[in-house]
Amino acid sequence: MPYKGISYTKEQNKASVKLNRPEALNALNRETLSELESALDEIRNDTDVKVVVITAEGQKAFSAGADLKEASSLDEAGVKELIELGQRVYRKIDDLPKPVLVAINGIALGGGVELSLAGDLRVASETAKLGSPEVNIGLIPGWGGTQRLPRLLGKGKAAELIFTGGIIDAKEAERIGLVDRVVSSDEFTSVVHRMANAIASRPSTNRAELIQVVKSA
Amino acid sequence: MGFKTISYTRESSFLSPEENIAVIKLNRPEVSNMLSKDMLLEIGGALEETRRDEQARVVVLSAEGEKAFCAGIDPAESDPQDAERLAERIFKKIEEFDKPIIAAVAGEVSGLGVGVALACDMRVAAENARLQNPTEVARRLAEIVGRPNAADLLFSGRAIDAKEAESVGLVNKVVPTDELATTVNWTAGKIASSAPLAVQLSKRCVNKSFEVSIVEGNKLELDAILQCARTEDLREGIKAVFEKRTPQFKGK
Repeated sequence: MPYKGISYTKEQNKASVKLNRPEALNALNRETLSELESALDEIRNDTDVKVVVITAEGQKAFSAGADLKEASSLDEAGVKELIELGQRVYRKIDDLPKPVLVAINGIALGGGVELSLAGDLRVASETAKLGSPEVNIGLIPGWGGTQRLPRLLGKGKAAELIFTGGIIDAKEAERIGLVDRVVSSDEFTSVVHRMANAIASRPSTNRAELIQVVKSA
Repeated sequence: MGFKTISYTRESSFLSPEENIAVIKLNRPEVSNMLSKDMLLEIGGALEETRRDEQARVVVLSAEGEKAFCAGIDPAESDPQDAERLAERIFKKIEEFDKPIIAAVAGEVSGLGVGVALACDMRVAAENARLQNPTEVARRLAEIVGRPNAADLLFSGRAIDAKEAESVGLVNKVVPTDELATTVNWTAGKIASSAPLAVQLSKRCVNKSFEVSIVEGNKLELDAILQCARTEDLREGIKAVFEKRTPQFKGK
């Protein structure tokens, strides 16, 4: 199936889904989310796939979050549909019975961070910046951020990120547990590749074990 | 309203000349800011005043002096159990309060003094802070530091210093003691400059996150987003993004 907003490739037992609108900082519009959903459905039923990598094209952005241009043109019914679409797609990532490694290759904001939270493991390039700045435009994180951030970071740190809308660098994200490992940008692609191979070779859904694999890959 | 055991003031921040930060200060430093029933009732009264005050968008809860944030229930209270029940009622009020509350803690924090800090949304600690004997706050502690860390702290009963509190996530950040007030003012200023309804709704969703499934949590988020979508503040926020300027939120 040909995709426009994403690219989907399979190499042996590794599936890779790439957001592919670098010119729009990989902002998530309805088309991209629907394509992501199709790719996930395909992966779910593909017994060959032992690990899934979610990343994005380009070096600047993983994803700047929801496509504000598109979202701000919607009426209330349209907004409801968009929110439910993102929530459903992210839950499908959550529910995937295979480890999902999210490779945050650049800035990840709002819905971009929420996408990463639905995965099992997060590795960030040292140039990445992360944040949930929704309250700075009059919104809240609506694709699971208010639920998954507290579960991952604890309530206090989640509250600070969400209520201030502050943007943090990769090192700080690692300190508070938002990412599991930070890698230099030159080595990023090769290290992510190594991680995916390591995960695929010893499939496990135990997060503590997977973190060890990612840290030593 | 005149308070005896606390002080209640309003502050501006570097982001706005508006005095949009409410500051509640425990004010019995001569007895390590221990909680009396009067003090608990006055904290509740100050929160009611903040609730009615549309200009106040965030609360800082701190204490007078650097030696103690709060050393728990005052043993001089005639009925300590009654005071403990009242304390839990006030903690719940802090936790469920519409506007975010930041605890600024220095020096001794012990017994239900830890409870005060844990009921707040986030905590900033001075380097000299020491936390000890968190009692009857297991649920809140686990939601903040995770169950393994909470179990360790509760069962060992040992005191931890600010650095360790930071490493387990019990406090968001540790700063030099003389920088505590300015750091907290900075964080509070950031929150006060965000869209007030969005902040309130996100607090409600975060508070529910340990009680509900992701599916139910998603429904709460959807409901909150639809409320945001009806605000002038969202239109202003999106306009400001496209015009590359700072938004001016009105809380409408």
